[in-house]
Amino acid sequence: MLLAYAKRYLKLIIGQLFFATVWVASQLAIPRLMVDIIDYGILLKDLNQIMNRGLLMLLATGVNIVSLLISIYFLTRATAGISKDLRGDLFERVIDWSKETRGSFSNSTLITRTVNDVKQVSILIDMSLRKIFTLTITVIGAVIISFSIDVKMAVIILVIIPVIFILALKLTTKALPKYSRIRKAIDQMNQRFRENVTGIRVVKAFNKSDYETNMFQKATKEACEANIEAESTMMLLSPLILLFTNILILIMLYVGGVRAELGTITVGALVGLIEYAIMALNNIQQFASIITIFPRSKVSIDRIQEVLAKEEVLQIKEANSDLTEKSTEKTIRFENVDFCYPPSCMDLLKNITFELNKGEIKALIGSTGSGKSTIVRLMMRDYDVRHGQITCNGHNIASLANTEINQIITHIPQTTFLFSGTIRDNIQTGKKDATDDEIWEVLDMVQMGDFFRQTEEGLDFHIAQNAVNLSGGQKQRISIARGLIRESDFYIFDDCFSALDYSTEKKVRQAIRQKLSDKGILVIAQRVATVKDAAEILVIDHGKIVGRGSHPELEQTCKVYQEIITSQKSLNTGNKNADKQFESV
Amino acid sequence: MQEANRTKEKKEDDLPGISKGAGGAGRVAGLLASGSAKDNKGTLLRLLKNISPFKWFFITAIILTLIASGVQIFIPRLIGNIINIITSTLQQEIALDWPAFRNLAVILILLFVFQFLSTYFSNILLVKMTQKLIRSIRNQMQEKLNRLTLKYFDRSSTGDMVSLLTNDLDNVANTLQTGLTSSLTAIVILIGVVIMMFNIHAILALLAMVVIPISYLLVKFLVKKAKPTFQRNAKFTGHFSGQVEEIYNGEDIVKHYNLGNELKAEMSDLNERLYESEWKSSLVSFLTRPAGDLILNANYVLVAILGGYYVISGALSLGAFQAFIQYTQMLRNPFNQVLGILNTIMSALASAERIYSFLDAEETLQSGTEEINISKTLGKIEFNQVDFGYTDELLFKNVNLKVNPGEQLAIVGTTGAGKTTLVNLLMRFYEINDGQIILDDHDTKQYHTDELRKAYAMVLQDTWLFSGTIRDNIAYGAAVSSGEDLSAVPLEDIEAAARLARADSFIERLPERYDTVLTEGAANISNGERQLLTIARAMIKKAPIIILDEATSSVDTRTELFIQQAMQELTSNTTSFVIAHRLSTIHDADRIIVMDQGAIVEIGTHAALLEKGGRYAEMYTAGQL
Repeated sequence: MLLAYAKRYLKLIIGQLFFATVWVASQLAIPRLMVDIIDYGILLKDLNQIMNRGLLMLLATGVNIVSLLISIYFLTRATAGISKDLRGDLFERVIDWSKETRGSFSNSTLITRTVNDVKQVSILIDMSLRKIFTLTITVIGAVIISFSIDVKMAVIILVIIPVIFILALKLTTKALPKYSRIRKAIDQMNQRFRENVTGIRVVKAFNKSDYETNMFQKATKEACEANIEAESTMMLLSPLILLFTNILILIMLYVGGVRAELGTITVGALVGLIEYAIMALNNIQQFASIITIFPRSKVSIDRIQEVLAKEEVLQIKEANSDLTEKSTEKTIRFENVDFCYPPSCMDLLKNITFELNKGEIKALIGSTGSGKSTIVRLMMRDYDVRHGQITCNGHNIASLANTEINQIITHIPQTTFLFSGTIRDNIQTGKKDATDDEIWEVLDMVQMGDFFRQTEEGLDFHIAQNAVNLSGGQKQRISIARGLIRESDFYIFDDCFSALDYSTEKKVRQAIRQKLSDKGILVIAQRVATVKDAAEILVIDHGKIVGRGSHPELEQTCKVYQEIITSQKSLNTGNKNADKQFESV
Repeated sequence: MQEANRTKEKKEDDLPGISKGAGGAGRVAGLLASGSAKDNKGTLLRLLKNISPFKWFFITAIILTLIASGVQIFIPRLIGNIINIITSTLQQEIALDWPAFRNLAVILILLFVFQFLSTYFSNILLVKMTQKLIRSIRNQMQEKLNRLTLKYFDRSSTGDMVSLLTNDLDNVANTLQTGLTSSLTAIVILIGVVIMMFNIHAILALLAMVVIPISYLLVKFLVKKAKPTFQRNAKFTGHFSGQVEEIYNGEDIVKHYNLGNELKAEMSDLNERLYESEWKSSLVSFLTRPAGDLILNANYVLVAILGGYYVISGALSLGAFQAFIQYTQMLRNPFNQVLGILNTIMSALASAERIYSFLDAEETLQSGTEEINISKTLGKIEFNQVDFGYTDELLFKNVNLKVNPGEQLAIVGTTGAGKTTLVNLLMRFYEINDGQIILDDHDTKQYHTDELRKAYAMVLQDTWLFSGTIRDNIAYGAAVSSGEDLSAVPLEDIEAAARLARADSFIERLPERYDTVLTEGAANISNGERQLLTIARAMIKKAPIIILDEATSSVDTRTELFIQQAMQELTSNTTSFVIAHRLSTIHDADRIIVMDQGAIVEIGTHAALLEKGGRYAEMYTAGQL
């Protein structure tokens, strides 16, 4: 997967690899020149030779710096570019998913994947291109140059390198699984601690301090042990490699001594070879300590991959304006719809049949979890029905593009979400070119006009992130206004009056009824007062329609409806006022 | 400034498993972070005191480190001597002085092994010491949590506290575990190498030294230049993730209002800008490396030329020359480390100080010793001239209230009227400023807080559940003796509690029923379902007094009625406090208490209060109930 992304930056990457190679070559050249300084300059007492090689060394240093700079320039651009593409693709992918495809991905994990995991991958790319590559060719280069200086000595180096490499790899791979154990232990511990903080009142109220301490100490014990185990292994790495390096040097000195007696080696060569040996082993050590990053990145790569590979489950059609414009029928129709949330196969909705026509007000009422909101989700095609069909203006909604469904139906959701930004921006998400007058009109309808008129900023009133500067009721009303400014055939109010007091709700509903008199309206609620005026009320219980009819009819015939009324109506005798109010809303 | 650094560090650490020293960025960020403790000396002493149980570990480790780095210094010199032996063989074409060679080789081997052992053991000792120390500090912090007054939690954010446990403690741990020894090694090597260099040749050594101030100034300069670039990048990163978060959260609106394409364009723009700032800041952070390399390499060349001249002129032996070259190479790493050492230690001390100030925070109220026998508790409660305020400003002034055993009390009032405060004081979450709260004829201060809280089952407005199974979450309400697991609570009890709370029907519909694992924040079930679980958790406690603080606000009225009926069966003789804004929840109460700005303004039955035409009647007609 990463390779496909890297391909787009092939030129930059090739550039980076090329200049990194130049960098390594010049780095390797310096000790090589030192060999000559010793052999031809110092030993032959030729100052000119020293100066000449010295200048060459300076030149190498210059090349060294310049190539490093260029390669870093290429590297940073390529790395940042790949991260950019990954981020962009992840974001667009998630935005395009239907709710059904999104499934059990929570917001927080998607955010982590889009931001943090991409960051982790960029570190991996940076490490691979910058470190792993240069370390590897440095080792190879050092060995090659050693061979060019003295074959027999080089063989000694060549033999010892794989030994050390395997040793380092063994230690690292032994420690790696332990690191994931540490990670888990630490996560567990942090979670315990965080929950202890957030639930401090509950912990105290249920006298669970000892229990929490007990659990926490288990977690810290695990973290402590895992850490000691992993670190003890890794701590062996660098002293061990140092020991091997030193022994290698000693062996080379011994062989050098023997050959010096025979006169088959020069001092410069010996010094140079020792330097290359040190260089090679040093790089192997760095290599081993970098490897630890791979498993961590693997987790991130897998998580990104999971998002990118997830195909849209629903068969989404391209927009086809002919289809929707031609139809004259203005009706949403549910025909024997069954539904269950994947992966469970417990029926959530069973045999739902109803229709909503233009100019009509219908309502759904039922308990928490009865399936009311799911009906709306199906209507907006967040999910596909399992059985039966839903038609919209005469077309099965599966044959329409989502953008078309969205144009026909305006959904005002249950959970109020407002963007941070001005109130104008927020209302304009409903209608892009809405004028200030239009915005004031809908704000007045939801009884929020005066509120904003009284503020200094007016429509520039700034809504903070998560709209923390507004009350629940205010948020709901702005959300309603944003829906009302949209032009569509149908409007679905999904339990979005719940935070309004009765008198405000009444005014808002009246305004809605006036403005949308020729549209189809579906109201979903838990309050009887909210649904009372609807032409038809469907009572939903445990995913089934258990009653349908007008308020007076249901009052007589439907048991669940009666129970709802009872629960909301004042039972106290002598509470005429409450009844009166209840009736009047 | 310090605050800014903390948040910066936090941001970095939020990214899962990014090793800080991984890239140049980490290195420079380390130089930038200069959070400093207010009382360095005091904090250091206290940290040392914490280490004192492990002092032999610590001292041994330090000594071993010193030895290992000392050994490191002599090795090049001895190798140089061997090379001299070889050189003279070559130049004078005589037999090699094997005895001398052998002596040197034996010394070297001994030194190698010695170095290996001391380095390894000092590392191991430090790891063990640090991990044990950290664990004990972590445990102290967690225990502290449960001793702190709630006032502390009101003032501090969860993120800050968790950050103490993770970022700050990690910082201290890293410094103790590796930072300290590598700094120590660096210093010893730096000093030793300088001495050896001067010992070999003074002028050459001076030449090699010149590099130190230049390199230091250059890095300092680059870091200063880099700062705005980093800040810009941090800003864009924050902005981008903020936007992503918001858009993902607003999924429904984004989808159903056809905002996708517009937002894609907007984000692509932002992404482009983030890309620009990202590669620039990482380029800048890498620049310190070539800068350092340039100087060190130039240094190497100069030493090679001048040194070569000295060897020819006979002022220097070839072995010494080779050793000198080795020493210049050895300067490379320690040098960078020493540059960072002060910052590392300072920032660790700053972290330690933050941890200590948490551990020193004001502790909970004085606990009495009286025990409560729950079966005998009547649930008679009296507030006697109670004064209380969260800050110096009093919220409750002279509050009086008498509640009879078995009475059902509803509390109404606007936000901030003091409803929840009343509950907080009952549970003795806060200490009252003056007056008395009496339970069954004893001042609540006389009870041990654990015993006092046994008398109450509480359901709070915020539906806190921990990540774990539904079963464990309900079992959490039951009394578990210390050391026992939540699994000790029998499943029948849990199911019974769930039935009472009407949580059984949704639980039964989950694929894994009671074993369903709730994610953090219980985000995988709805708000109403969370409330049902918290009610079940309270039900299983079977306490003589029940407190419901907006416990059913997200539950529909019909389900709520069922729950109320169940509760009434269960609690016909328990005292209950119900805070609610729904008329349906409160109108059946024996008495209704109306609160306003910390005062009880009216008490009476629903009918009586309406009759009276006061505050309650006003709220009632305004539709606030």
